[in-house]
Amino acid sequence: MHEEDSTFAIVGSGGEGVVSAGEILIHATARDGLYSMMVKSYGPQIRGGESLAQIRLRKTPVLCQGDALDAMVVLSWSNFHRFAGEVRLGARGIIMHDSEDAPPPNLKVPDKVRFVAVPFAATSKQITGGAQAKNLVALGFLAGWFDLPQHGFAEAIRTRFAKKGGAVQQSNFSAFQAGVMLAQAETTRRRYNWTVSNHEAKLVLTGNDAVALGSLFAGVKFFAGYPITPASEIMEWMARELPRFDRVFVQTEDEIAAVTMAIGASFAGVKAMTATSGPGLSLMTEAIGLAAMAELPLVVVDVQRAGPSTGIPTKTTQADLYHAVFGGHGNLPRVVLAPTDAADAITLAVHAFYLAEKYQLPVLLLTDQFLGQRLEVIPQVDFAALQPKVITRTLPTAEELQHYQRFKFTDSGVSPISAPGIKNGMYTAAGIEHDETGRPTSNAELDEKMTRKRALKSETIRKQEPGLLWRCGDQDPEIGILAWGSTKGVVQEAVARLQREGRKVAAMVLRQLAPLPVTPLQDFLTPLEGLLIVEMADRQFYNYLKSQLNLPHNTRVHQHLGATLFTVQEIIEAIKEVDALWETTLQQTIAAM
Amino acid sequence: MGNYTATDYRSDVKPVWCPGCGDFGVLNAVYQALARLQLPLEEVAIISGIGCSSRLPGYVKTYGFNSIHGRVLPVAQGVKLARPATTVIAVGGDGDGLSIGGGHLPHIARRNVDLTYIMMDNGIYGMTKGQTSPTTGFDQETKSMPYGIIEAPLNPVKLALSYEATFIARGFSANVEQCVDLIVRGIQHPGFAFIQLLSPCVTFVGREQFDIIRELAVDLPADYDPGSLDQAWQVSNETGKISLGVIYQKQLPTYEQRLQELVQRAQQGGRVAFADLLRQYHVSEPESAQD
Ligand code: SF4
Repeated sequence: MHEEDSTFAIVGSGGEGVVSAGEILIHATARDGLYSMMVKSYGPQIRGGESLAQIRLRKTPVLCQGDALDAMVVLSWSNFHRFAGEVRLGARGIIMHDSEDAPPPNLKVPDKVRFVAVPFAATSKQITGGAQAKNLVALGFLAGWFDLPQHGFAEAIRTRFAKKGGAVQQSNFSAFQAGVMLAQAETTRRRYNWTVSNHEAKLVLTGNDAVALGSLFAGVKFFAGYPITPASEIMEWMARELPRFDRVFVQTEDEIAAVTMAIGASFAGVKAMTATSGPGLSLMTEAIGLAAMAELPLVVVDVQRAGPSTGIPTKTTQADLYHAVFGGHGNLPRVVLAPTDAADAITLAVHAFYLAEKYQLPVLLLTDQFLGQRLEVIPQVDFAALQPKVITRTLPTAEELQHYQRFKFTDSGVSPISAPGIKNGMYTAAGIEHDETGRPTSNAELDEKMTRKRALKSETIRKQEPGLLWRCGDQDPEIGILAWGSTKGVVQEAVARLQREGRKVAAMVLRQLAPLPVTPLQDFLTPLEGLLIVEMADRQFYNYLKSQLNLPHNTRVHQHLGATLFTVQEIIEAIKEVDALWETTLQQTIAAM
Repeated sequence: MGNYTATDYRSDVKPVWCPGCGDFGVLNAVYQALARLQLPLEEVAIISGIGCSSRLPGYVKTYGFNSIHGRVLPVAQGVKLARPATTVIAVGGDGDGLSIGGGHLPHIARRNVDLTYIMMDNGIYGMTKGQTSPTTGFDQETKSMPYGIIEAPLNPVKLALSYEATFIARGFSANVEQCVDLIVRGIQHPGFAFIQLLSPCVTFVGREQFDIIRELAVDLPADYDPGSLDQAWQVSNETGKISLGVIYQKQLPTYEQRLQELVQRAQQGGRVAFADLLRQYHVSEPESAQD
């Protein structure tokens, strides 16, 4: 197969249809059998300001957002300075801009970059009578320039404007076609071949869609939430879909109400969840301790965003790791899962409910803005394979109900859980320390036993459940990489490229941060000559690993503090540095012998 | 239906309250109200936050949840909305309900969730040993305001009225009979019922508080109309006396009823299966690609 792999950006101001053009491109090309990923970048303001959509297109599943741009379509330059630092134009990249809107004089681009001025607005006016469809002219120009398959666009545009009626659909499609023609008139362009022979069924969705979809599949019956960027889409999804499935959605007055309402629903016997981002997670932390203490299943999704306090709500990070893993007062057993991509977000949402219900404790699902808001085309998900993880709560047996003890000491730490409506299963759930029946106590000895009982669940999970890890690369690596969550794609691609260069590299990506799968991780680490830790936080992941594992002597951390995404190239360079470091240490050791 | 007596609702946990605490009267009234309604033990859930009064769920042999400070109302709503067949009673103090948890009261009122909230008002923080609460009067001195209180007290009935709660009542824990009646009517009320029960703290406010309230307390007159918002405002504004009884009541659809209507609206196009929903995320080949 011809390996076409292109990355485009569409930039402009809010309201110019940047994201809309990107979405059309994704849906259209997916129909023609292609895979893609779109990341969005926009300012925190509601209207106006900058807007950027970066799309990577391939014939095989896209692992990450791609490094340098092959083309940048500029709808207007007015806000370009705000994200100039985030767009990396390839050495031979092309800038397609409106003929009426000249590039700023101080624009810094690689030498060989080519500028193509196109009458976006003028063509739109000519065809539709207004400049509004200039994004479609631009999209057509891009599609024509890169020889993108045309069939999907007709339908994607029709679907997009379905609500606006036939005339609007038609004029938008004409604007698109005019753009295509302008590009095809250019004879100096390179030719591409995007034809794919085998169409597989595909899904187009964001990470937030995926979490919601997985949760519904897992049987969530109750969702309570409070709006917060970049997690709101999960809440809005639930508001739209849950009533259609006879399930309950509540938009609460704040995050504390959201999480405690979910805890109340869980106490009443149903699968319950909430979703939030960092500031909301901070507010919810006391209640997460309540769920742990009262031993109630609870799923909390944290779509991480940059910064403590308000930070940058529209940019990504992995800096809630400490909070997720250690946050809260007292000894607070919890499970923390971190999906690696949209498909995995479905899987891990199902796992989150499975673990919460089975072990009666809070489970945090840690995603981030990058994963949550990016639009991905993925191969069809095998829901049937996930079915065994969709479990119902095991209720107490008749025998257990004779002298019911809600918090009975057991070998696993898990006790029979009842719920209102169950005769003779009455008990008082409490955040206050209690005995096996639920009676309050301040007895130190009993508290010690109860604390151990709750902590035992983490051990039981380690024993009974496979630690959720993902691995790629060499079976017998010299250099290893550890990463977690959404940085998987960029790491996977870096490893593949290095392997092609003949290096013995492998990566392990954690999908489960707590309880930490110590044994498989240590098995991976021990034979390594060097280790690279990749994280989008200030050494939180490194410090966490260091506290529970023996890391190789030659360990390096490659970090971003958030806001900008990793490129494959920089990961490759970082791995090579670890490798070089090993060589020097080796030579020094030999020299000293 | 079972033949329950008040003692059937008594759990084997001994109350930790100080002897003579007003909360005993409330507990007693809860037992009797449940018996009067003949509610099966397993169909009742009593939810609380934190504070002296919030220990109450443990003393009743129904389902109970002694949660965290201030969060009694959201926890209670979660229970009710997840399992509407449950009779949910929320209990707690003035600090729990008006200070830390004060933000939840307007929202349960505007939702009109069908549950009963008993605010056991002792005008002090008893559990943390005597600090000012949002209902402590100007004339007192407390551990946290030793030079006198410089903040005006909140008026729970007035708040509930301005939040448009659909059932508002006030009782005095020394008058158990009346408390039973108010709780029964609160539970029977379809929608959110707010009941302020004055239940003095003998340890940090003093035993004389009973006498002070007794002196000021009057039952609402026989011709009082709980359907009149005007009269309710007058009661909430009165000084020099404390009127007891059902102060305000009106019928509005409950949250649960509105939720059912919403579900019907959402399902107008027919019920959806998971597979239908999934299809929305699927892309298929364009028709023209096959030609
Ligand atoms: S401290 Fe006051 S409110 Fe608390 S139990 Fe004692 S008397 Fe009752």
